Amino acid sequence: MTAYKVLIADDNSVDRKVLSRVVRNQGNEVIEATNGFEAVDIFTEHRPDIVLMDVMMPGLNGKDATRQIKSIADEDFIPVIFLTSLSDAQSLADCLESGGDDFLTKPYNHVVLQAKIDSFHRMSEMHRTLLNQRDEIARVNRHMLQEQRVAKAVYDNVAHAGCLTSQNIRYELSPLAVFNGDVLLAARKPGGGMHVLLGDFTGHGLPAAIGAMPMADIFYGMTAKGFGLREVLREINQKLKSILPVGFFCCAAAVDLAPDRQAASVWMGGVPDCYLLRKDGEMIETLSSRHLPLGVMSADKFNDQMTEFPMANGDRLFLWSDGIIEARNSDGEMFGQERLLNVVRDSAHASDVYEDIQRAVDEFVDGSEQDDDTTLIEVVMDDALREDKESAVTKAGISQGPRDWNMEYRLEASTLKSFNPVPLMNHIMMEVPGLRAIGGQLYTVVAELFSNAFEHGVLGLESSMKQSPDGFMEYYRQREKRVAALEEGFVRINMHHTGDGDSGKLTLTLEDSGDGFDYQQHDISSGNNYSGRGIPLIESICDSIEYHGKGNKVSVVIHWPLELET
Amino acid sequence: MSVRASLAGNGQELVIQVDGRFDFSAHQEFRDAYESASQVRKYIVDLGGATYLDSSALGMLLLLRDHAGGDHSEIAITNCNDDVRKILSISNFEQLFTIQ
Amino acid sequence: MIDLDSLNMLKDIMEEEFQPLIELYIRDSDRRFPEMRQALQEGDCESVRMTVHSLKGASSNVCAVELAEHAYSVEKMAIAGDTAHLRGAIDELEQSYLRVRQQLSTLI
Repeated sequence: MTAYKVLIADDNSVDRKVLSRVVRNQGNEVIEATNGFEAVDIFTEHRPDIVLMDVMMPGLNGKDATRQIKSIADEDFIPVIFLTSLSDAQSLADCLESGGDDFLTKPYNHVVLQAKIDSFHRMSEMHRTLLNQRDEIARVNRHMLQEQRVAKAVYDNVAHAGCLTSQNIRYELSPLAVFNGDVLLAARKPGGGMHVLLGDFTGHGLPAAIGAMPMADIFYGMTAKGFGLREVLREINQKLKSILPVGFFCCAAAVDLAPDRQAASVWMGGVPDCYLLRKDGEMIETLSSRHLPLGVMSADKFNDQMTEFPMANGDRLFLWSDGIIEARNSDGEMFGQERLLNVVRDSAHASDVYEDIQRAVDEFVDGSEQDDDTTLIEVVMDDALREDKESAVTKAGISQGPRDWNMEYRLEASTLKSFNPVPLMNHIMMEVPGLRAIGGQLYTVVAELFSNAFEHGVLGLESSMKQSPDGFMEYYRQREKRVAALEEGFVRINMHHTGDGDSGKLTLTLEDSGDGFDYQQHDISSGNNYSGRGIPLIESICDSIEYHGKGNKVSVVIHWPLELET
Repeated sequence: MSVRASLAGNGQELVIQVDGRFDFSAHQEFRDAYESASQVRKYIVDLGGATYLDSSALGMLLLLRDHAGGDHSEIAITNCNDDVRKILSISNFEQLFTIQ
Repeated sequence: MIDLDSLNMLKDIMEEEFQPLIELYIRDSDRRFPEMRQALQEGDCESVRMTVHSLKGASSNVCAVELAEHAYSVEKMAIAGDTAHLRGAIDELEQSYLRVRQQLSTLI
């Protein structure tokens, strides 16, 4: 038996004495009050666990005293048992209304009294436990919210470090809670152009956002180093696959804007149809998801194939996550793909579409509680995306950078099987400020030369196979096969640069372990993009191109600054 | 939302029926449905009564696939209505599952 | 008049406090009647009621069950404001009490 502190308030001394003895016999501590006022004062000072209150007392009666006591007790549960000889239900009901919890009738039965005291004590304990748990929950919650606030700040720094504020972009990311599952990334490419990525992670909150950080890091890091979007996506896919648990993934739409070619390439996995609007706003072209979301496929099964289409200055691309499609109105109806298409169709001008969509969605969901996130981005092809050659050249004179240097890199068969050195070569060349203006073109040159050296030289693949679309497929099938079986061979890359800060000369030499080809006889101006060694492409960029030996060694020379062409 | 599982084809086929909204609330039941079944070679996820599929449902299907042997799994998703089919096709899940 | 079984139980509970309790009851209750008469004289039925109520409660606690019930009927009269009959009722009640008082005195 536990000892409780019991307050007994009764103006009748006989009653008080009997009750007091009964309660003390049961191992409890008793404090007595002889009237209502005394009861309230004693309660305030001693804070008993339970109160036995006589109803009829002169001065402050039992009911009023109870009201005051309950108010003083506040959050704590202190049971008050009325002592009464009343027996009719109405009077008893009146008593309870003043806050009392139970009755004990005279003559006092000690068995009943003990049972009531024990029962109320259990209730008190339960109540106290509840209060403690409530306070603990509130504390933990506050703590979590604070942590989330900090995490969000970190997240914002990483995920929004790009160029979403570029003139050719309008976007909306509406966060629902501290984090939504959507990510928008945009970065300028070193040689001109831009990469844009819209991601929609499964779920909401912290788990969804955790994948966003490595994704953003990879995206910005690799884009800045000159990697192509396909490689960026491949790397992101691999990263997400390794860190996200099975069942978690990122639906994404990625765009590579190439203002030089007035074209764009798109990769879509798990996102709803997006639209390309031509400048005149007449035709709407639909771009559909062809791939599985990022983070699902293993590296060997990941499909990085992109869809390319022409995109002229003024043409605009609209991307969104399924948040827009699934936005609900107060009737629970979804906005839907059809409504979205209609908004795009009904716009007066292509430049109005973005705001029209925002307005339409706002009006639709007005009054209801959004249960998903609305993320929308408009990307316009613009001349400003080209690298500014003039300013790049003038800047080059002032910046530091390696002027006279020589670099040699030799890759053996085992490395060639899985490593693409082109981005690294590009990275090294980009250290020369004067070369940055033609970064994109240089990348193309190195990529093409390496591809020739590796595929035609080391792997022995015939370039003539690529003349037809079918042959093209067969070519790549063969390539895969030969790479897997590769045991011997090498590619050697040499770069030699001289310069004075305002101009320079870069000589690139590639040598492969293959049999070469008869370069004197070869028709190098075939102009067919499927086949040939892509020489015409290189010729337009380089000042000279020379073959040596068996034809398995080639060197090109590039002078910078390039004559500014139209 | 309800999940019902039953064995067919001599105990080698497990049919999991999902009715109503296939979303996160189905998580535990869906998992319980296939985790306890052993010696199952083929799985059939019957979405005839499913009204809606969200990304967590897609995640659950991926978990099932992982449990069933990943690339070696045999899973058919059947009786999809237009909406469900659309969702599966946007995510190109026909590359991982047989959709009927 | 007095429920002796219950009184014995009370004795077990109160132990050494039993005698002082009965003595207290007698002292308190002796005083009640002059109080009742005084209040009645002043026409204060509410005070009459409260005094009778106290007697009722204490009496039931010392197991004088019939006396308690008798007090209850007088209490109801006081609640009703039946001053005409109260005087006589109080006298009768006192008689009942005195018999209980007598019995209790022999038990302590």
